[in-house]
Amino acid sequence: MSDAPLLEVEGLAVTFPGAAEDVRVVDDVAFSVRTDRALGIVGESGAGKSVLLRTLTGLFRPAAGTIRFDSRDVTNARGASLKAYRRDVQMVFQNPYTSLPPGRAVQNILEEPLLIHGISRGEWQGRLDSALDGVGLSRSFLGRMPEQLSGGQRQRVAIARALVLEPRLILLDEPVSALDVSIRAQVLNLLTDLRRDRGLGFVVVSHDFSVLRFLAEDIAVMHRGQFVEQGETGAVFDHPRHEYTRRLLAAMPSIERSLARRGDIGEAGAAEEKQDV
Amino acid sequence: MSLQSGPMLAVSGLTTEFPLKGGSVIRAVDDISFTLAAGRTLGIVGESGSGKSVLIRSLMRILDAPGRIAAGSVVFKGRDLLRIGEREMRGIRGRQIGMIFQNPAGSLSPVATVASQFAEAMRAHERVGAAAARDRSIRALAAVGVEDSAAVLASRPYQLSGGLIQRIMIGLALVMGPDLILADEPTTNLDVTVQEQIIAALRKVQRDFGTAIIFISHDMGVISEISDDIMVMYGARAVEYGDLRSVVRTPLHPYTDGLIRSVPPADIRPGMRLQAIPGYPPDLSRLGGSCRFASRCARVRPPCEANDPALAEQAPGRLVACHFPLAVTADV
Repeated sequence: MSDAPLLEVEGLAVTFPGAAEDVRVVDDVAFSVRTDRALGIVGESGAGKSVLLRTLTGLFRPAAGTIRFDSRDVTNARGASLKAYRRDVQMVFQNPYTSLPPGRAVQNILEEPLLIHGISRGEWQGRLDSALDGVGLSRSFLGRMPEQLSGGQRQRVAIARALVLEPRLILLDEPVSALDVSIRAQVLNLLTDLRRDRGLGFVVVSHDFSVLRFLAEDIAVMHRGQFVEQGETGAVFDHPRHEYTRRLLAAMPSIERSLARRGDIGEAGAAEEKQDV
Repeated sequence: MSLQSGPMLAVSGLTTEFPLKGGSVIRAVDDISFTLAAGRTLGIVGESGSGKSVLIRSLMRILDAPGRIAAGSVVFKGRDLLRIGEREMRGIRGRQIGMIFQNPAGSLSPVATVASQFAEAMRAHERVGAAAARDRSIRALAAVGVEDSAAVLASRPYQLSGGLIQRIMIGLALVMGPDLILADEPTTNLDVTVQEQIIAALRKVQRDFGTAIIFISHDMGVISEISDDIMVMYGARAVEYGDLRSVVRTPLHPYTDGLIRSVPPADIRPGMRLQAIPGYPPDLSRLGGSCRFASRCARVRPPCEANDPALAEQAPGRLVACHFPLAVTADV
């Protein structure tokens, strides 16, 4: 089984009803994810990244295409098989200020998925301990509420909530964008450790190339519902082939590039400055 | 704009407090000083709660209640803005000092035409006829790279993209020909291609008009794209100040160093580790007497627990608030 991809997607399309005709929000997308090859999806707002992730969790029904998880076709899974799939595939959202319910203790938040999925109570404590351990929080956090936690701590709780069901694949939607800069690196390191220690598959959506360079072996560039370029992350970075990829890469703010641009503010530098408007 | 001797803006010892129930106060901005010359950009980098937005709002005297300025001076073109009346301040706000905020859509009426919002911005300060208002609006939009200004002026913000709306906001900030623009996270939550356009537009305005800019961001990459000088804020204080190249090449404060190192570098690959800053930012309501970065600092030593270091000149033009700053090396 180790040779088969964890997740295999072919010809996936998602349409939303439009005024005149249906809009293809995800258009003919194909990829595979293995535990040793995480997929990063980069793109701008409206590209269809989040709709794609939600379709993978069964929140939206695709208009076309197939989703295979662990060699099983789950495209139109319902009832018990959908529930089993959803236990194996967990999602972490961007904003831990809105993704965690206020006024409920962390313990209650972490136990809810166990209750929903009928995990026997005898296992709960072990599951909670393991999840907290994975995100570097002590058991003392179980009695606290989200509003008593910092953004970084909240996102750790959100990741722990995804871990309690012992999933095999985690879908991460902009997992560090809402976090303070000094906290992002902690969470990125934590995700790397989790992936290695628990053999997880990752699909990571981000608008930030540098995050994906750190988290994903493969990358897909999404634009207007389509994957316009995909491949090994380093290769796409170093040799972008699609015009849109090149435009995105050029627009990424960079300390090094801005220093280089100022490095020779002679005639050439001034001329370049003129062109950039 | 008027060239004069001395800096356009000189902020000294600015301190802003928010009283809490029970009589204690939070110092959200603590003893901040800097100067800014015409045609230059100061980038202020810091994370949420560092005080950077409260600082900007203090400069403009638009603090949310119950915040109040407890000390300091803000000398803009020879006048201390903290010592003039509100009426005089209204003549400066929007006219001589323009502001751009993070959420562009929320700062404009979604349904009024762009033209009417430009006219309103001008008429807040002076009488302007319809033709003159239109002419100046078109020039302000051209300054930020909006080409089909006639169509844009006739449209309403709900019909426009986020990037275009933010350029309109900059155009509105420019229409009175301000000497100084305060930009508070103006590109946060915008797509990177739009962010690039906004930064280019600000650079063009600065080049064409010699405008001074204070640009606030949590993102060191964005800050480096636009700034001449950088101030790093942490826990309501400035912990490092200097020119862009020196600060990012040879940071003196361990926090600045940590911020730069926590951005994944170009040669990073999955499975590697980032040099993360441990811990969390300080709670301003519970500061002891120690350095406010001490609990997260790898270089912490007994003096750091004993007192909070003041910002002091470590090398020419390089200021740092640290008992044991990183060495200034020749690697610049």
